[in-house]
Amino acid sequence: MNEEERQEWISDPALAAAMAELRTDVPHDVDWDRLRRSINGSAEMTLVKKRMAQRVHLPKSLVPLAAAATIAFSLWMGPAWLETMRQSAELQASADPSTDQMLEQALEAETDAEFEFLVSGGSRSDAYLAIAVDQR
Amino acid sequence: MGSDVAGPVSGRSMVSPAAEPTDVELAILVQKGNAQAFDKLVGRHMRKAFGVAFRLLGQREDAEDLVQESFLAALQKIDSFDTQREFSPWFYRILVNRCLNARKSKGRRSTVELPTEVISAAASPLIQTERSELKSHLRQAMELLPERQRTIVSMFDLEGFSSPEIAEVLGISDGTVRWHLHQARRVLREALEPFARRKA
Repeated sequence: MNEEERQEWISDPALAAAMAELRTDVPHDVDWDRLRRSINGSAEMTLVKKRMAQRVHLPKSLVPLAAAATIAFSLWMGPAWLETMRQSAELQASADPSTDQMLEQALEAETDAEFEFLVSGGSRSDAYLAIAVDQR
Repeated sequence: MGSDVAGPVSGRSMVSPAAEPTDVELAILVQKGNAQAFDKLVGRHMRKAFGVAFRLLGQREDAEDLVQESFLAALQKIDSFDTQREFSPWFYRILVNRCLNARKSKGRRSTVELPTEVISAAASPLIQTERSELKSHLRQAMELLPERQRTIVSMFDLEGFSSPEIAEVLGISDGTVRWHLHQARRVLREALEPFARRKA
C-alpha cells in the first residue's frame, strides 16, 4: 500500500493528526549499540554450536552410507566367510586334541612303553610299531 | 567465524562484494552459525522491532527485553526458516506473538508509559498542551481496542507495515487486516470526536 492509499484510509484529519503525533512517540534515547552488543553476546553460544554442528555434519551424513555398505558387504560375503571360519575352527579342533582326549588315550595304553610314549608326546605310528615288534 | 557475509550462499546466486546481502541470504548464513550475518540482521531490524514492541507493550525496558528475546528465539528457530520465503514476516511474527503473550501474562491494559515528549521548541504552550492531550486520548482509545485491532493499527499506522505484511505476520488474510483496520479507525474516530468537537 502506497502513501496515497495510506492517507486515503485516514479520512479523518483529527485522527490523522493524532496518529502523526503518536508516530513520533517512541523513546529516542535508546542505546542501540548496547542493545545490539547484548543481543550478539547472548547469541554467541548458539552460533558456536551451529558452526560446530556444520563441521561434524559431513561425517554424520556418511554414517548411513557406511552402515548400508557394511550390511551389503556382509550379505554378499557373510555366508562364505562364515563357512570358511567354521571349517577353520573344526580343523583347529581336530589338530589340537583336548586334555580330556589325551588323558583318555593315555589311560587306555596297553603297555608301560605305550604309556611312556603317550605321556612324552611320542605317540607316533612308527613308535607304536617298534613297541609291538619288541613285545613279540 | 564462517564464510564472509557477502560471500556465496549455499548454492544460491553469488553476491558481489559491493551488493548488500538480502535478509534471506543472511539468514542462510546464520543457519550455518555466521555471527557477522546475525549481527547484520540485528542491525537491520532492531529499531523497527523495538518500535513494534514498544507500541504493543508500552514500556521501554519491556520492549528492549522483548526485542532481545525475539532475536534469540529467531536464532534458535532459524533452521526452521523457509529460505524460499521472506525473512521479515517470519521474524516479526515471532516478535508480535511474544509481545501479545507478554501482555497477556502481565494482564496489562492502560499502563502505557509516557515517553519523553517530542515537541518542537517553537510550539506554543497551548499547542503543546493540545498535542499532549490528543496523544493521551488516542493512547487511551487504542488501549481499549481489541488486541488484534490494536496490533494492526500500531503496525500499519505507526510502524509503516503494509496490510499484506501484517497479514503474513499475523497469519490472517489481507482482507481481514483491512477490515480490522477499518473497524479500529471507526472506534478511534469516535473516541476522538469529543476532543475534536471541543477544539472546534
